[in-house]
Amino acid sequence: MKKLLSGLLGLTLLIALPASALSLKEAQSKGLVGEANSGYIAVVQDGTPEVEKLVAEVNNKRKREYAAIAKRNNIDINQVAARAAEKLEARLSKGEYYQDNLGRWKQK
Amino acid sequence: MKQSGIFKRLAVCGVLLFGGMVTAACTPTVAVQAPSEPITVNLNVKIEHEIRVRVDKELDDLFEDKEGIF
Repeated sequence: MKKLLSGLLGLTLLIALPASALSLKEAQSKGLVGEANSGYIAVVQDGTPEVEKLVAEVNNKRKREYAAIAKRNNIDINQVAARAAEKLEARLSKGEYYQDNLGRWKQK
Repeated sequence: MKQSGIFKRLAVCGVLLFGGMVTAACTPTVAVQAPSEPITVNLNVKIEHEIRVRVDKELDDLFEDKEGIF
């Protein structure tokens, strides 16, 4: 019985863990990360290890998706990323950060 | 009489000369010259536009699909 309970508890923790981790939306609305002008996200100011980890994970996944689109259309991945940057900036909610052409952080 | 003949001839010559000049001036001169370089039609703009539209569509779909990373 005890074993089953601790097993259940472990399972609950395992399921709950990803939810407790910082999500991109949260990080963006808190102003921790912003949309860089490269099509990827970046830390806006003094990132904690958790924020750095989120940035690395999200950017890795984005890179994979951009590469797939680039390959399908026979263009450079940077062209896809640049186009994505423009579109992502337009999608941001008020108060969220993005980088302008000169790399300065701006708040939408 | 002799002098008036000379005048007459001069006048005729003048009219002829004038006519010739007018005709020469009115003759249209259209010079058709073959281009020295081969004619190339640049289709890059259209192709780039099509790719851009396609990439935009794929990006929009991507943003919808992978909300966690966009």
